[in-house]
Amino acid sequence: MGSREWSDSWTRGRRNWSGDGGRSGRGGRNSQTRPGDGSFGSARGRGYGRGGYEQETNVWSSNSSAWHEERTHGFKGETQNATSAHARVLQGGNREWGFLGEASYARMDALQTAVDEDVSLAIIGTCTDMCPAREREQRERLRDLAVFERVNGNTSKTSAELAVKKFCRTFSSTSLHPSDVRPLPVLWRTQRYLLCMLDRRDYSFETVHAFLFDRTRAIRQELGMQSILNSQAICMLEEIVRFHIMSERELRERTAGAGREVDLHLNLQQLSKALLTLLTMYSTEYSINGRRCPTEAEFHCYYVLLNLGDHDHFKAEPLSLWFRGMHQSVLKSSVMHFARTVLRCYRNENYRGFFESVRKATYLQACLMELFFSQMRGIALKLLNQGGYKLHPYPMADIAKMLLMKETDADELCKSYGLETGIDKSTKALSLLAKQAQFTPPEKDVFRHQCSLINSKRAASYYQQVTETEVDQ
Amino acid sequence: MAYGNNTDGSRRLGDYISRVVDAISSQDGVALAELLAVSGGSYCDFVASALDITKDASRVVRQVEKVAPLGDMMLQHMRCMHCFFHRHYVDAFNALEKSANAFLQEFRNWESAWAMQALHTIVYDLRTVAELADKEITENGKMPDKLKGAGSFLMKVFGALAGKGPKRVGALYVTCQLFKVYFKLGTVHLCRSVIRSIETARVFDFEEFPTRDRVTYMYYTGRLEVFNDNFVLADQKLVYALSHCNPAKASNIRMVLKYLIPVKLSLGTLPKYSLLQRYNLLEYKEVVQALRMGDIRLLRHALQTHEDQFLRSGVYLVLEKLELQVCRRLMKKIYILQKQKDPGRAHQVKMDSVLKALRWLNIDMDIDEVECIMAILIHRNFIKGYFSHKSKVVVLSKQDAFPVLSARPLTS
Repeated sequence: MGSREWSDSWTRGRRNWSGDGGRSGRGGRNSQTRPGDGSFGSARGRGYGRGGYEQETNVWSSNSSAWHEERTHGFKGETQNATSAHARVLQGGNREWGFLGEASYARMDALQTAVDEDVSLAIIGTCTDMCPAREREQRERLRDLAVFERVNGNTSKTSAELAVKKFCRTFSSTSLHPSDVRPLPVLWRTQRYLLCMLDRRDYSFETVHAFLFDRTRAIRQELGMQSILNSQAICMLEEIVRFHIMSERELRERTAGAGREVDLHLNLQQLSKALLTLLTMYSTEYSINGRRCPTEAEFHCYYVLLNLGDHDHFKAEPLSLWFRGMHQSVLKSSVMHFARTVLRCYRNENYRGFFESVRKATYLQACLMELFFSQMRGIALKLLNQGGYKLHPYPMADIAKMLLMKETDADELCKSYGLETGIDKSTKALSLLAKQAQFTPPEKDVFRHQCSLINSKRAASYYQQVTETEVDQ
Repeated sequence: MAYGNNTDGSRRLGDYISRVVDAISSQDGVALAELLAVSGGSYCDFVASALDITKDASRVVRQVEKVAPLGDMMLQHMRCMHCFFHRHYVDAFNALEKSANAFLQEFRNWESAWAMQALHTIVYDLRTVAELADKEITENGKMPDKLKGAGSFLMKVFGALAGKGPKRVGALYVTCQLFKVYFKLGTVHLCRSVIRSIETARVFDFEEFPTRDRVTYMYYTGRLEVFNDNFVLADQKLVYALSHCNPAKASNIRMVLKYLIPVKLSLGTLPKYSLLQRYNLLEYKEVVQALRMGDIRLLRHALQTHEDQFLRSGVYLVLEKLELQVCRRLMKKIYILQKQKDPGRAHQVKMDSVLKALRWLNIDMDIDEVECIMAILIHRNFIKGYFSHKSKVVVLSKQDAFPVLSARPLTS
C-alpha cells in the first residue's frame, strides 16, 4: 500500500512516535534529531545556493531598514558607531563564531544599501527643474552628461529641458538643500518625459534603458526621501515596475551570450526593490486612508511570478508566509487566481500547465514567466526522455508546440541537453528518441531565441505598455 | 485607584524599589523577574498607580539612586510601566528599550547567570510591548517600526549570551523570541544567522537547553523547513517538538500537529481520523479522505473550503502539492479495476481511461495534460512504467508498479 496509517502506538506512548526507535526522545549527543544537520547552513552544499553571495545581498538589501534602525540607537556607554559595535557583539570575540563573519558582512552591506531608497528625511523639495541647477552646472563642468542631456551633442552643455537628476548613492542629510530636491509635481513631469523616451529609435534600447534605469531610481529615492505617498506616487512606482519588467525581456533578447548578465541582474534587483516598495505603499495607503488601489492585484501577481522559484533559497519571506497577509480583494481577483495557477504548475513541475498559462498571460506576466522558461523546458525534456517509450519517437513538432518554440529550436534544445533526436522511420518527422541518452544539463545556458507568442502580446508602444494596465486575455 | 497623597505614593515606590534592591543584592533572579514584569506583571499596576499620585519627581529620582548602578534603568522601567498602564504603548516601548539596554549592560558584567529569568522577562516584554506599539502606530497612519527595533535588541541580547560561560543556556529562549518577532514581521530570513549559531557553534549543546525552549525551537525551525519544502527535515524537527512536548499541553500539541500533518501527508503517512478529532484539526479530514480515495475533486474542494485557514497557517502550498499523490492513488484504482476485468492487460492503461475518470470527477483536463501528469508521476517514482505519446497509453511495470512512497520508515 502506498499510504500508511499511524500505528496505535501514537496514542499509547509518544516515545514510539518517531520511528527512530525513540532516539529522539532520549536525546544525547549522537541523537539523530540533534539539529546538527545544519539544514540551513548546508543549503549551499546541497547545491541550492546558486549565485552565492550576490543572492544574499539581494535578500538583505530588500529588508535593510531592520538594520537601519541600529544606527539611530544611541545609548549610554556605546560610544562607537553602532554598526561596528553590533558586529563585534555578534562575533563575540569568539573564534568559534567565525562563520558569522558572512552574516555580519551582509548586514554591513544592508546598512549601506539602506542609504539609497529607504531613507525618509521629511524634507520638502523646491526644485522646479528636472535637474537642480547646481547639479547641472557641476556636471557640465565635469562633462558628466548622458547623450540625451547634451545640447546639440555638446558634452559640456546641457539645459533645464534636457538634464535629469542623477541617482546619488550616498549623501549626507546636512548638505542636502531643499532646492536640490524635486517636489511631486516636478517628479511626475520628469517621469512623463522619461517614459516618452522609451520609444525612441535613434539610440539603442540599452542606452535608453541605462538612462531610465538611473533616472527613475533617483525619482524613487526622492519620493522616499520626502515620504510622498498618494495615488500619484503609487502610479509612478507602478510605471517604474512595469518598465523594469519589460526591460528585463528586451535586455535579455539583446544581450544573450554577450556576457552582460550583470546588467540583467541589476535590473532584476531594482525591479524587486521597486516592487517591494510598491507593495508596502499599497498596505500603508490602505491602513492610513482605508483605500484599496484597483491595480493592486496586478502587482501582487507580478510578485508571485517573480518569486516562483523562491523555495530554493532563503528569500526574505517565503511565499507561504507572504500569502498570509493578503487582502481578500486581491486574493479573490482573477489576476491572483492566474498567479496561483502558475505557481501550482511550477511547483508540481507541470510543464504543460505552465506553458498553457503563458498563452493566457498578459505581456508583462509573460515577460516574468519567461524567466523560468529555460528551467521548465529542461524539466519537460528530462521527463519526456525519462518516461517516454523508447520505441515510439516523440514528434518534435508536438514538443515545440507544447514548449512554445520553433521546431528547429526545440531540436537544438534537445541536443544541448545531450538527448537523441532523429527522423521517425514511419512518420518521417523529426522526433525525440527517448531513453537513448542521458539527460545532461549544459554547462552554460546559452540557448536563446525569441518567443513569438509573447511578442504578439505586446502593446502598440513601450510607453503604452508601461503606463496602461493590461486587460486579461 | 489613584487615591492617597504624595507621601503615600512615594512610600509605595520606595517599597517597590527596596524590593528590587533586595532582589539584586541577594541575586534572586526569580524575584527580580517578577518585579520587572510589565505585561501581565503583578507589580506593573502597583507602580503605575503610585506614580500617578506622586507629584514630586525628584523624590522618585532620589529613591531610585539606591538601586545604583541600575538607577537610570529603574527610572525608565517605571516610566514604561506607567505608560503601559495608561495604554501609551509607543512611549512604553521607548522607555522599556532604554531600560533594557541599561539592564543588558549590567547583565554583561555579572559573572553568573543569576539574572537570566529577569533578562528573559524583559525580552518577552520588549516583544509584546513592541507589538502593541506597532498597532498603535499603524492606527495613527504611520509605518510601524518598533517590533523591528525589538528584533535588533534581541540580537544584541543573543550576542551577550552566546559565549562559553553559564549564561549560554539562556540563549535558546531569546532565539525563540526572535523567531516570534521575525515570523510576525515576515522577515524569516533573519532567522538564519541565529539558527546557524545554535546549530553549529561548538559552545552550544542543544540538549543542555531547557526542554520548553527546545520544543519551541524545533517547532519554529520545523515550520521553516515546511515553508521550504524540506519535508524530511521538517518531519524530524516537528516530531522532536511533539515527542518532547508536555502531554498535558493539548494546545501546543495541536500547534505542532497543524504543521506536522501536511508534512506527514507529503511523506505518505496518513493520520487516523481519531487524531484529527482529538486535536480539533478537522480541516484536514477531507484532505486525508481525498488521498485515501484518489479523489482529486475532493482535494480541490477541501482546499477551497478551508482556503483562508490554510493560507493563514502557511500550509496551503504544501497541501496543493498533494494532488500528485492523489493522482497516483487514482491510477492505482484504475489499475485495480482493470485487473479485475482483464488481468493480462491490466498494466496497460489508456490515457483516455484516465481522462474519463477525471471527467467523472468533474476535472477538466486534456489528453496532453494527462500525459504530462503521467510523466511527472513516473519521474517522482510514484508509479513505475513508461508512456507512449503515439498510442496515448501508460504501460505500468508488471512488478511493483506503485512503489511505496519514499519516506524514512516510521517504525524502525
